[in-house]
Amino acid sequence: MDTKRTIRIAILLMIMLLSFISLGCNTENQGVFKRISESVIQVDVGSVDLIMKNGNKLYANTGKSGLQSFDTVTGDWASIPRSEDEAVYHYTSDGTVSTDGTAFIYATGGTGSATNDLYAYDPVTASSVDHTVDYQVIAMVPQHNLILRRTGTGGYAVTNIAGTDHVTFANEFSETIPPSIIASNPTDFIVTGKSADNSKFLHFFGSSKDALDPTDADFDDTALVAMGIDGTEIVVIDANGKTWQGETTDFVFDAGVSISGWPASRYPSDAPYPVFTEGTLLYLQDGNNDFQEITIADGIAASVSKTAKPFAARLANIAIKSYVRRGTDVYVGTMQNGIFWIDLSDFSSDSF
Amino acid sequence: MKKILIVLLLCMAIIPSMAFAEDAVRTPYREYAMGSQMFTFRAGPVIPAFFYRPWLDLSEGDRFVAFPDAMHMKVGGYGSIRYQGFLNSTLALGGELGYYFAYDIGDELFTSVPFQAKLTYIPLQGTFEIPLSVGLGLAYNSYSAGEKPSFLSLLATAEAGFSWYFKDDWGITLSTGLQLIPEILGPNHPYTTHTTFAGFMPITLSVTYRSN
Repeated sequence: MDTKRTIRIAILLMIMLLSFISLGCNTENQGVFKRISESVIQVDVGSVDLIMKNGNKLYANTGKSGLQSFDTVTGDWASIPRSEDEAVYHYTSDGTVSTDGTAFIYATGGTGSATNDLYAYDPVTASSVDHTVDYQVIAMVPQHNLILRRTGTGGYAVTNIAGTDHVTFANEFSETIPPSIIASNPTDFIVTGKSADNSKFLHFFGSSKDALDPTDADFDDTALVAMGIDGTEIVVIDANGKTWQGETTDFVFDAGVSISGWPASRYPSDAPYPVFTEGTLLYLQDGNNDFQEITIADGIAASVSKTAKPFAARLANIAIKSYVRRGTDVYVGTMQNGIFWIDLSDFSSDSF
Repeated sequence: MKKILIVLLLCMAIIPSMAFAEDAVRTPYREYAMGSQMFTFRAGPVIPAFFYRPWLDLSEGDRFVAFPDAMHMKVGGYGSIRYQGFLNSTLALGGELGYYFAYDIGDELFTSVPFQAKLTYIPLQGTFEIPLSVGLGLAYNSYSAGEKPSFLSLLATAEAGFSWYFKDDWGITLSTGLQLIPEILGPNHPYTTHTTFAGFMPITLSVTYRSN
């Protein structure tokens, strides 16, 4: 009797032990304790949407403190003074600021149908003044001197901050659901959004307004959220995290791959996604904060090696909001942890 | 000077014996037996002790990091309730349900809800006791960063304490030990080298009610 009981208890213990081991397996991510060991002190300004670099100063639209400058030598943040109009706050919502590289303009209210009062900030004089023209701002590309604005019923235009239109759309896009804009630089951009009858998504490239043509109908199902260009090769990423590859000679796009770890719960799902390019590769961070590199010539995605490219390890537990590239330096604005840099000459990275 | 010293030594010798003599007369030591029970409420700070990543690529960091600064984890807190019944005069078996929380240096929250079977051995009994415990169970762990990952893991604990029963039924215990939470990333997992054995050191003050 005792022997039977002992055997029974032993079997139960074995089953429990095996259960413990299998239950201990974490299949969701790169490891909670690893991520904790890589955590970084938060910075009070909140998310950092980088706008431009001028001398030792980086300028950013921050989540908690509005427009700020950051001194890369001293590490000090400074608030950008409000405009001459005391009633105007320089709070800007996401994407309502843009720059031509020496100055930047910002909208004082959210996007929508009302005309925004625009103000220009000059870093040299450190003052804000009324901008010459006000627009109904739909979105701005903070780093690339591009403003997507509404021009009337169902009409949109992409304009630079000097007031010159790159392209206009009379009736291609939906009146009720405005399009959005993504860009690689001030001339290579895509306007992407619902068609006028809200039946599908349309995508147009640059000032030439070339329509992006798919070889797969899925291309019409979502907005595009990121793009990268290498010569005539172009890759775009849709809101579901799928890559599409084409050439700027004919703008015919083939389906690529679904990016591993793409954030499923992103909101809004069709907002521009932060990326940067280096040579033939487009880099982005997935939902687990791991870096993926996409070959622009074929749209194939692969995990970035943390050994070969140490920035992928350094930033592995830091959610990224934006990038600004100057030469071989990429400045990285984060969601909670201030500003980092990546040196593309050796792929090293650190915070300021 | 010599006289003072002699008086002091005499006092030191006599006072404890008086106290024990009084105890011996007034209150006999509680003797546990099968069926005796203990209810315990515990709370206290938790010091992150170590992360051990035996298969970590050295380019990704050290395999063994210890204490809050190196672990990037702040001192947290732990609270629990425990019930144990005695199997004989020195061994008690029961269960403990707790809640552990700690913030990383980025102010992201790590929480763990451990539930464990607990075996306690009490070699020294009476007004003062020394309970030695081991526990085995599961812990449901969550982390607030990113995609807010969570996982269920094995839990193993060991601890030692010092108890003082200020009343026959009521006592307080100061204890410390080690809680081990393994995060096992299987051989087919892309980050299997991130498998981590995490150790945490709770320092708790307990209130215990015991009955026969």
